[in-house]
Amino acid sequence: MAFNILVVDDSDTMRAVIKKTVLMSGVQIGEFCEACNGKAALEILEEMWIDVVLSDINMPVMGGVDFLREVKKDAVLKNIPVIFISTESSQARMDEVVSLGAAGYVKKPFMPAKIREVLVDVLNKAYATRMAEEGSGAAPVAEEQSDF
Amino acid sequence: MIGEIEKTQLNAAAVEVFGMMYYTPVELLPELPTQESSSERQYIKTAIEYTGSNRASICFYFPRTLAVNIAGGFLGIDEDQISDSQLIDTMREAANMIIGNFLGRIDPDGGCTLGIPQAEVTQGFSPDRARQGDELLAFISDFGHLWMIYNENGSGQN
Repeated sequence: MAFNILVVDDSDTMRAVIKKTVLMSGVQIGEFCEACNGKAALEILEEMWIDVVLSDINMPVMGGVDFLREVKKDAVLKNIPVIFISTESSQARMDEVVSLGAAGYVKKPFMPAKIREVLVDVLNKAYATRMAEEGSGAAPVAEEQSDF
Repeated sequence: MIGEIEKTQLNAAAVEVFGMMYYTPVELLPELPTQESSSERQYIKTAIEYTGSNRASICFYFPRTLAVNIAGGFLGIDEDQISDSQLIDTMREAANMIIGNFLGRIDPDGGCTLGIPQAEVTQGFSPDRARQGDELLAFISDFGHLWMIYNENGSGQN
């Protein structure tokens, strides 16, 4: 099963690095989408199915926390897991986003293996939930071997 | 004045970001160099501030050669293929990570909000850019001195 992934970050450079990291992770990727802020990300979510969002917090126009609040308010979008990849590393900020419904949190700077670990964990949980709802057996999200 | 604890945490943040993301060692110098040892002519000037329970404005001057090395390794492209906009974007992110990491160390309760960094290519750097109330710091790297002007009152650009 291939997953559609959306990366939200105002830095072109960081989006490119996250994309490379995800492509090397062993997770099967369908569509790989990018947005430069939360507002642009919401527009993409309205247009196509996304399995998981990897988002920065500190962005112009609409930051990651406001983006998550909008996602959670929407009956259709609220089950899409949102993982934050952010420099904002205080425990208070992490607790805040988890309480708002974030599926995971990766601190910048990060090692590529950390992104894979969190991404695979979140996708496995989301996939297992979906398969349980459909009454099918779950399969692993990522191959055993990654390029890390 | 920036305290010794903050200096130690700034150094730890810079070392972690440059080491983990860019594989480039940097180290805060205990004393300012008497003169700029490199012949660097261009810098990527990157300003960022945080507000809230504490506030400060920070302005980094990344030597262009350091920025080119970092961006090339980060993006996986040849150094002569890197554009100014890629340099600016990469160094904005570097400043964002360093100060975000620093805040995670000195502000565990999350009382501060990090601003959006702004960057531009600028010609030369002189320690004279530091004004009254500013703290001038210098990091050593394999690609020249990385300068930082810290103002705990958040009083604008240098």
